[in-house]
Amino acid sequence: MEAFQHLMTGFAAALSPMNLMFATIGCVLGTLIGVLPGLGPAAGTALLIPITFKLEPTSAIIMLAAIYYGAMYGGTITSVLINVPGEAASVVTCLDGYEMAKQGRAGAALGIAAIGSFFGGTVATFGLVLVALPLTRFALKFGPTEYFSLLLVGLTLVMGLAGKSLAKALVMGILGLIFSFVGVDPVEGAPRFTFGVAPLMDGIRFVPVVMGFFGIGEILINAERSLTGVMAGEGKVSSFFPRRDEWRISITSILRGTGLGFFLGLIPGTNSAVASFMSYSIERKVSSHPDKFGTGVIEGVAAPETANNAYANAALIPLFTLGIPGSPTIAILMGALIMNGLTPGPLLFSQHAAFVWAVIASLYIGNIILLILNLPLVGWWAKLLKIPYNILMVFILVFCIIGAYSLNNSLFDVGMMIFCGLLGYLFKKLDFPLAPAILTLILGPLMEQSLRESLSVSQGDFTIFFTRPISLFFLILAGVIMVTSAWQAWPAAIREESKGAEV
Amino acid sequence: MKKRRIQCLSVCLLLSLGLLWAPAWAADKPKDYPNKPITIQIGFGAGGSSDVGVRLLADSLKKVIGQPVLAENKPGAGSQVMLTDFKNNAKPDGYTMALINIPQLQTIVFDPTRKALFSMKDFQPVANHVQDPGAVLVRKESPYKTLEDLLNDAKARPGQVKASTTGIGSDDHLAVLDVERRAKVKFNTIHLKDTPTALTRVLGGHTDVDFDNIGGFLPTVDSGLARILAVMMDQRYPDLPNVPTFKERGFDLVSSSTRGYIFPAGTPMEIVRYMEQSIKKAMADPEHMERMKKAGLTLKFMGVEEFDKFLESQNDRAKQLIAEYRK
Repeated sequence: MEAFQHLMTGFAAALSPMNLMFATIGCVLGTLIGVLPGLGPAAGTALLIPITFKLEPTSAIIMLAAIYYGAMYGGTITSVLINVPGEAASVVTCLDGYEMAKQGRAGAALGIAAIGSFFGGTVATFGLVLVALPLTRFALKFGPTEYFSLLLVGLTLVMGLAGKSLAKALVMGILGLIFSFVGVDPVEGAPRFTFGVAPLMDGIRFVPVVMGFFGIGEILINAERSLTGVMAGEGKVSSFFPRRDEWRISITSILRGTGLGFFLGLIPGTNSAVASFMSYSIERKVSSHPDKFGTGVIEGVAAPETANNAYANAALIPLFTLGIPGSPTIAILMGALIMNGLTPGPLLFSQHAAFVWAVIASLYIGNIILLILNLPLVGWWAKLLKIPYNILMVFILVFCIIGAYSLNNSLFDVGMMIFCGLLGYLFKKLDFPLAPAILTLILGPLMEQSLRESLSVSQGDFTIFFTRPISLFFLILAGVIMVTSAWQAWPAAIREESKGAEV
Repeated sequence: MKKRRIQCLSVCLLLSLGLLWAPAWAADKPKDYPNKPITIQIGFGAGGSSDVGVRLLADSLKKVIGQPVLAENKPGAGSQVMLTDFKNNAKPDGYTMALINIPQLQTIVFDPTRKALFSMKDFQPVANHVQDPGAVLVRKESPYKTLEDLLNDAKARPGQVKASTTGIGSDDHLAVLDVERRAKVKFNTIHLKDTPTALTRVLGGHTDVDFDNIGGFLPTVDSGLARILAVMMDQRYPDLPNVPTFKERGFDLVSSSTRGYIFPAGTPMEIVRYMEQSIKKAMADPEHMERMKKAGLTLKFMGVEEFDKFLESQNDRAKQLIAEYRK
């Protein structure tokens, strides 16, 4: 109950006109940062740190935190409307969100994303209040070994992203892994597969690939069809509320997304893209109509969008309780805390209780502000689709180029994006699914690092993965997912045949 | 040469006469420089401690030179990506500076495995800004109470005590090698990605000891989750009066992550001098000093000559240790 009292005092502070204003500014800026591809939440937050010196620490952190989770909302908008993910966590939203937009249901997609995000974010914040400390202790048990096995579960979920052909999904998955090998060896520091090209030393960056595959690829496909009319259901933008039958499905998806996002947020070193990809794959796995995924099903939007916001709020827990930033954006937030004279860690709650609880209260308020900002705006955003596609296309192209360039101020990234756009076009023509490549491109470096770190700890002994209980649990889970997915993917005829053979 | 020295002397003299004497100062300003914004390139990600240091300096430097100072991140490969780009594209006109990290620069340049496309000759040192001393950290629950506990255990179980660094060729890695050589011990060295990862691992008990820099340690130490066994400085760290130095314990080990600024080689000397003095002035700004202290970054100014000498002094150590870990 003590926590509850603290929280009430926190609300009183967070609701002061000043703090309310900064939370709103943060939410608006965050949404904009999320909308702009390339400029991710990490860079956006870093740019604003100097401004925070001039502010009172509580207001400063409230604003920066609002930017951070505001970006999670904003990233969805472009994914749904124009198939260009605003940030990594929204990539998977393209798969069904954009399909929904094409059917004139952009409003419903954005609406459910906003509602799911609100729910996920709020529940994760509750977690922050209630169970923060014991949970972080548990999260610390996650060493490289456990982490690797967890990622392996993520990798087996690649199969969940397969379209009609499992083989094609695996080919794309491997392509993503190959992309992820390029760059400097994370342990030895030696450049590999860089062909002497300096920018490749930093590896093939995720954002240009995604913008190319999805954004540019889509433009090329449409250009080929010389679609000149209105793309999204003759400009008919239905209400932002999902259909009644969709609610039932969405609610369970949102619950699952919240749980997963919260759990992953606690573990330092993951990222929100992992959370959204895994939750999408899980939805598909448990769905009664897995074959409909990718054609515009609402749970394909609801679950990942919920997961990434639950992740974003839960990721603050390790920062507040242990002083460990779980992701790059949180690291910047931590820098801002320190520079404002607040040391993150267990003492933060006792030494700066007023501050911590004001920030926590502001997370609730921020989520409400975002909901208020976003729901009415959904209609406006969706109206963008009334612009004839041949004109919109030009804007999307410019938008992507600026986004790719702003990433690292490098033309190389723009070239990379265009190259990936051509690849994306080819893959679409050949009906290869793009999402598995993106998933492995995200997971590849994380897995390589945790695999090599584990082996470095065990001095080359692979049994380390089986002798640690949490790790073993995930390995078994991965095995189960793999076998059942393979079974489902088998052509029905063969399945029948083998059944006969068994008998 | 002599003329330059006199010029330098007079600059220093003017400076010591007091920074308030602005007109005389202005006379030493190179003609028509700077007349547009100056960019500082950073080979590390936004928000890290290298980045924070640059952004804080940029804020004070802009007041000194009267032009905006922009910080530009080009992260990757421990700054190798940025330095390659800097060597190939930066013009020696005084409008592009770069942050270097010592000894990381040396371990890129002198390590054949890294295939660096630049050498020390491509850079003109300007001034040093930060020196973050190395330190050894264990978690609260660790059985090691002193440096001796750690080293005795490492001696008793060669290759078993897990020590983390923030990457191969980092100052932390060189420090591990140095300790191993001087104390005749062997660690199981684990190279991690960055400071947050290293802290997570050591707090979770996945590694036994973490070699890193004081700046990144202070929050964790302040909150009582971990303690520092020893620092790699000449004297004790002012804010940690109870923590011994390696020197006190009989190991001649001084190590740090040192960060300063360079221009491309061939930048006119008067511009280099002007920037050197401007950085010095910016570093004396009380606001800057206060913010740097809060960020846990220790200021250490070195002018052109001193910085150059320091760079050179680190070359041999780096070469020796590279030979050891690449053998």
